[in-house]
Amino acid sequence: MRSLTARTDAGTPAAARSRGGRAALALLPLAVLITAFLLVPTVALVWGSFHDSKTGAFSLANYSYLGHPLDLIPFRNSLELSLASTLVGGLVGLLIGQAIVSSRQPLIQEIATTFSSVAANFAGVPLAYAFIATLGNSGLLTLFLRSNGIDLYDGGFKLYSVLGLTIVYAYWEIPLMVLVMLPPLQAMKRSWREAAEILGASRWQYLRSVAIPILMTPFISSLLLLYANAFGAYATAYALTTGFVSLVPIEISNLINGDVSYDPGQADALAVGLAVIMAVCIGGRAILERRSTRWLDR
Amino acid sequence: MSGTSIAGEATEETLPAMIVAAEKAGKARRRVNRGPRVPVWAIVVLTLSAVYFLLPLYATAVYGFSNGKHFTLQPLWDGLGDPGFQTSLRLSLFYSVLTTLLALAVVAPTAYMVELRFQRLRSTIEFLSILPFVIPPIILVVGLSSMYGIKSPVNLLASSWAPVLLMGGYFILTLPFTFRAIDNALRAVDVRTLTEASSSLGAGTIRTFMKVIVPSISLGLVSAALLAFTTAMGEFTLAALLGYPTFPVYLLNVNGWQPHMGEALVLVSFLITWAGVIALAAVARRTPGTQVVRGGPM
Repeated sequence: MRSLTARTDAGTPAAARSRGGRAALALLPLAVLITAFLLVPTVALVWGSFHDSKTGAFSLANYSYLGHPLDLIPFRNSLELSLASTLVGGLVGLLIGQAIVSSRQPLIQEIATTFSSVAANFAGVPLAYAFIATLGNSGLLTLFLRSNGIDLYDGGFKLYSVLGLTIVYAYWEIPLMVLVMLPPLQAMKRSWREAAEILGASRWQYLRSVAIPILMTPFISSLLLLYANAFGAYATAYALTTGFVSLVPIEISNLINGDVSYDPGQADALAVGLAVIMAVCIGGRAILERRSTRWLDR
Repeated sequence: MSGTSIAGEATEETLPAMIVAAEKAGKARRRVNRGPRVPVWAIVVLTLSAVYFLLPLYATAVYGFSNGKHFTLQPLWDGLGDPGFQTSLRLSLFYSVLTTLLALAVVAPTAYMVELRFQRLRSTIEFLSILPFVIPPIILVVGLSSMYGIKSPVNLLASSWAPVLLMGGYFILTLPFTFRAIDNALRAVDVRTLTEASSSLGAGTIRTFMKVIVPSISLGLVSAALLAFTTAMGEFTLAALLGYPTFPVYLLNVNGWQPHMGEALVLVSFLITWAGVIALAAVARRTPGTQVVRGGPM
């Protein structure tokens, strides 16, 4: 700290030190808040995951879920749900993004971007109830289809299932994809396509040799973002299923809040497992981002 | 087009007219080019997605403005007049306003100091921006409850410090967004030169910050405030699992026993998010690089 202030201040060393000290004081409130509400709880969580919650002795029992197929069901369900909503959100989002760019209408771009920002922020309880009103047992669309001879619920559809959750998660995954893919899609220059056409490339050749290689990195990186986003989501899933579909975030909440299933140690261990999955996604995204192709730098 | 009628020989008299006509034709052609040549597939994609995104909102409105038989605004008036709604909304406003003020008061001076003196901390701070993904609310809440929960030796939850716990949690959840918004604004102005100029005129650090820096980053502060406020207003996971009866928590409960009123209140909640995000988009249009989406699982 002393060397830093000495570099920026030309005053006497003592004056610089006291000024540097006062400057460091300005960082103190943030440091205190981060320590109290992020670092200490995180340490407590990791510590708790390796200790028996009743006796306080060191134990790996909380991680026994890793060896039991039955205990891995929430992970399997979460994996399935995240994969499905990432694929739907990713592909549809890409399609909408390209449609927005291809429209070349400033007004459409403006409306679509603003609406995407709004929709990407619609999550949790309100979104769950909007979908209950639409696709629930007596939702608007369900009733409409039923009166036209198509009974979704007789056909085995449930809103509070992995399929139903996928439809609901897509509501924020698609606009998120649109928002993160719009910049790279807009950075694709028309002249590249024209150059390819002049050189005699077909539409498919242009896609295969120019567009796909350039867009692949941001596309995969966006998918990782969507995946992590779906995996860690709790509010929407809980509001929609009231805890009946076994997902990792829901199991965690049952373990810290449930009367019967109360087990903070296991909740800690599940939370660590979830954090590892999230870290892998986001770490992968950071690596991809670092070697994002220079073609897209505007 | 009038350009074709003067295609004869060019005399001195007709030349200006030709130029004008050619300009007109050029403008017209440019207008045609910019005009509605949206590809058919783009129209289909955008229309279908508009249906998917608007249908749940429409269904919510149909349920919220009905008593089961016909259109009425009664559920909305019932909801707005409901004491439970008013109490929970007041609680949400309380936490949102306090979180916003805390974020501004802590983050703005810190970001300023980092920009001015502690550039070396930048990478640490950048790391914060991915934290909401690695530690989403469902993980943070486990850490908070094992550290400060009912069963913990440091039982903040049952003490008069309980409000601080939720505020601290919300501060951490919103930190990446508030920090980035303010940091973007700081980087857009030349903080170093402004500070040197101000101190050469005799102003101290605090005076410089309040009178020079704050006014020049006001838009960044506004978007940080909006991000913090809308996040805290809609937050469900921490509030529900730590046991604070905020508006989203109430929304979940009321839907169980009064669905029409519940759906009407969902509309109220949508309006709050909507207002926040659209205000944010308006600010973002004037300051490029502002993040409109909170990002991160909810």
